[in-house]
Amino acid sequence: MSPLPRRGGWDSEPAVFLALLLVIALLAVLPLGRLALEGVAAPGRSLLTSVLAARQTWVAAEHTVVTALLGTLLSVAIGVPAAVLLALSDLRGKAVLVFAFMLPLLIPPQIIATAWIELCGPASPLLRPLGLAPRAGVPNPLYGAGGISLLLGIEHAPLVFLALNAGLRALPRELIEAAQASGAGFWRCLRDIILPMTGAPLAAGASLAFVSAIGNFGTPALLGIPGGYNVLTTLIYRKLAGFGPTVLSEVADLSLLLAIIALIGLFFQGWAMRRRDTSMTGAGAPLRAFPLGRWHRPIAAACWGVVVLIVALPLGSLLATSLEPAYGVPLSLATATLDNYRYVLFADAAAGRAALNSLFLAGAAALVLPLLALPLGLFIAWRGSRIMRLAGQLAELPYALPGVVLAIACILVLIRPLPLLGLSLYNTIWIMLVAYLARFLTLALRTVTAGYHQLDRAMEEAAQMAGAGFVRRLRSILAPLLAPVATAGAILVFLTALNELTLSILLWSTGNETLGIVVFSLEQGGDNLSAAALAVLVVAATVLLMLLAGRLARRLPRGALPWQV
Amino acid sequence: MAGLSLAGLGKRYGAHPAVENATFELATGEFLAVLGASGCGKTTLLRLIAGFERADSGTIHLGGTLLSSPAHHIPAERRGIGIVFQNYALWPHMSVARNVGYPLEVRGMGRSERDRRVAAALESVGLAGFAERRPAELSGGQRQRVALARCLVMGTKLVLLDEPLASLDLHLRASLQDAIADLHRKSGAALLYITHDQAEAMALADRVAVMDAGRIAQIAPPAVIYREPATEMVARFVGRGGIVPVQVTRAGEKGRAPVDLFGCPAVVRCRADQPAGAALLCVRPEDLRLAARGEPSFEAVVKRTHYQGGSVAVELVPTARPGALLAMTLPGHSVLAAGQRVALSITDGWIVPAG
Ligand SMILES: Nc1ncnc2c1ncn2[C@@H]1O[C@H](COP(=O)(O)OP(=O)(O)OP(=O)(O)O)[C@@H](O)[C@H]1O
Ligand SMILES: [Mg+2]
Repeated sequence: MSPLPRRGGWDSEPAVFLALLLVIALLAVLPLGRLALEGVAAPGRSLLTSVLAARQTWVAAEHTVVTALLGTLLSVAIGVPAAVLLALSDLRGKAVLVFAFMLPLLIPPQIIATAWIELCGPASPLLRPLGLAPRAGVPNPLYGAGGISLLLGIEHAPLVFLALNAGLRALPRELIEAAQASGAGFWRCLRDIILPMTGAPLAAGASLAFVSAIGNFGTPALLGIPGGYNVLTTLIYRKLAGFGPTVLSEVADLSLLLAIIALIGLFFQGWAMRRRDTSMTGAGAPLRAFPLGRWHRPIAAACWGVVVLIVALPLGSLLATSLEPAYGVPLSLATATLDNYRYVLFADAAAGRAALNSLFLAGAAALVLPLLALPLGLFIAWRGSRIMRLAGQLAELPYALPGVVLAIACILVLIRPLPLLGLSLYNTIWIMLVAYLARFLTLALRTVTAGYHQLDRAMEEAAQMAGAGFVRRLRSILAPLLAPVATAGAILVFLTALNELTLSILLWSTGNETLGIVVFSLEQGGDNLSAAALAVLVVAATVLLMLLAGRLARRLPRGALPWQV
Repeated sequence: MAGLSLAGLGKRYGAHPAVENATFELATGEFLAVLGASGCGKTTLLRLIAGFERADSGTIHLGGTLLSSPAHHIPAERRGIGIVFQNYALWPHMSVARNVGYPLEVRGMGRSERDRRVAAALESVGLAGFAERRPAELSGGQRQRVALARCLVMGTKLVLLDEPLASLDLHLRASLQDAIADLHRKSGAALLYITHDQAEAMALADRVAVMDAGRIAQIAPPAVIYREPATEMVARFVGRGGIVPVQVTRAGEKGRAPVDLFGCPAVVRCRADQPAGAALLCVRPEDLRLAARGEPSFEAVVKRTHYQGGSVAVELVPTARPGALLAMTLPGHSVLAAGQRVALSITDGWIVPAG
């Protein structure tokens, strides 16, 4: 029998490889490289020094670091007990607790800040009936460093939780059982074995919380700007919003300063991740949960108490505010009204436009990025290509660095007309799309790469043996097999993009506003009722999408969805 | 009475019984090896005794103390049972010395006394100079020695080992077997040793337990397991040899009974209460020989021969029973070819008890 002739001699794999490298170079390397260049060689060595000489810069930098550090401490204080309880104990109702606990990460900061402002304000629909609300005329107690740190801590606690939880679940069961057999009880095990062995993931999670905190815009914008408390992100926003592209060099230098602080945190995170001991050999069997016994009730009550405090109460007062007829009018069954919803849904043109724009941007990113991630993940996970792995790491930067940094970098690259085409993307929706693609690529890539690691390479090799070329293998074998993870990646991108604020607020132009911007502007402009109504709608959509993605979960590798651990 | 005692111990996963009605006693200082096919419940049995799993039924006593019953469960950390895991389970963030000394540390023993005992334990497993190393800086065999030292230092009455040598190569196994025999001798503890390696079990253990689908099929000294298997499964699982149908011509008397093996009369060993009738005969390789001319014999066909250097292992199919298989060992110079017909006679055999 003669071998089957193979059709066509051309192997498309190298071409796809080069195309992907080009995409990453354009999306990640070019803008960030351009920004770095601005710092060392651009028209203003003198400008750089003038920015660095300004007192304002250092005050903002100090505020940034202080609030971020305090926030990180709080994140650790919340995240560590949560991870230990949920990963190691036999607490009941874990799935619901994890879901509730992840909400502050997935609901955007501007909405969380809005909710907390309502919760603690003089008009607080929940505190006022109890007589606990501050008097009218007194500034909201959350304004300033304390409130910012508090909310940063709550918003980023899930990052600490996720990192530690993953570390705890990767612990080989025998190592803990050997300690139990040695006579160590729960606390002893925790102190001597479990926590020392998960120190690295904990440090990594805390660094991530810190980096996210310094890049956060929505929280310090809503809680800091009213009291004149500036951090670097809000300083950049105020300069750019006030003076436009004329101050581009100046804000570029500020964002470089922000990037450097972030890089220190990221460096620490990378160091911690590398310190993880790889000599551990696990049997892969799930850990036997430590029984809480008679402590079950009080601990469960404490967990639910925390969830009520950091999730239910603020969201509840957001909902209550959205139903008020006028700001400050006490809410009752008789006074509750849907007018605010009617207004944002039908009357306010900006809100309608914003919904469409956000859907377009998030939808396009959710469609394009998984398609890029499919071949990218293949090169990274299966081919073990060094270059592609490096490219994959570079693609992490636009997500890991503060959004403000990426936004400024995109402006620097795209403000001038594109070569050949002769038109500029600045002040159009397309600059926002480019920035979204750059920022969220890594979300899709991580999910898909995890999928490749779980798939047997023989799947592709058999198709190769059958004579299928590279693109055909991707299309007919790998894409269907990885469809569930790619979908999970798409949903993750969509969720995150739908709620985006930091990039958008620096890149938008009239007509191109997004949901994040409208909620932010309404709240900042004092229209708390409409802001609350729109925020409630966005939260509802977010929760709905999370639940929808959860239905996919049985077909996903573990950990593909952050809120199902 | 001291030692370990299980009565009617059972554990189910869903509807599937992983361990059923395990009942046996392990005397102080005894070495029991547990054999059985993969998935028959060996690890589950060990984890029940260790206290990592809760039994659904039955009881576990150690040294007269109740460790486990359906209503009562002493957690693993309060049982004081030493355990050696297949993948060592050394804590990577602790030095070798701290790994070994941890059980003492937990018990609140003072520094100097602890150091002394750790040094002695490391010495006795041949790792005297390794105290300050990290587990990652040791070879597989050395890691398992550290794990042994960790058990030794606890001074427990019972040590459980779940295939402790399975991830080591053949060469290392022999030296670790010595180390385990050493641990057994020095500690005076009872050992419950799970293994896949029959030769290892036979060589090390005082008694062997064979498990079959969650139940303990037989528990007896190695020679008894080999010579007098209690069930057909044990007969097939342990050692080489064949199981063939025979006709018992007269009920057993003083442990012997006359049988008719494919028309060839013979007298074999049996239980005292063996009735006459159809039965299964376990014939080990050393029980078979080529028949001399004129001797009562039955015919078989050579199926395969393996030259083993010094001897030849031969597989044969009785002509009267083409489905059955017999095995025998012949001197290395004998020339038998596949397909050849030979006359066989048996010198010994064991009637496998029915039911
Ligand atoms: N946590 C569990 N949940 C459900 N079934 C289990 C669990 N652990 C073990 N089993 C089942 O119980 C049975 C006995 O398992 P066990 O691990 O005790 O076997 P084993 O004899 O140790 O096997 P091996 O020789 O392969 O190690 C198997 O059928 C196994 O599938
Ligand atoms: Mg096992």
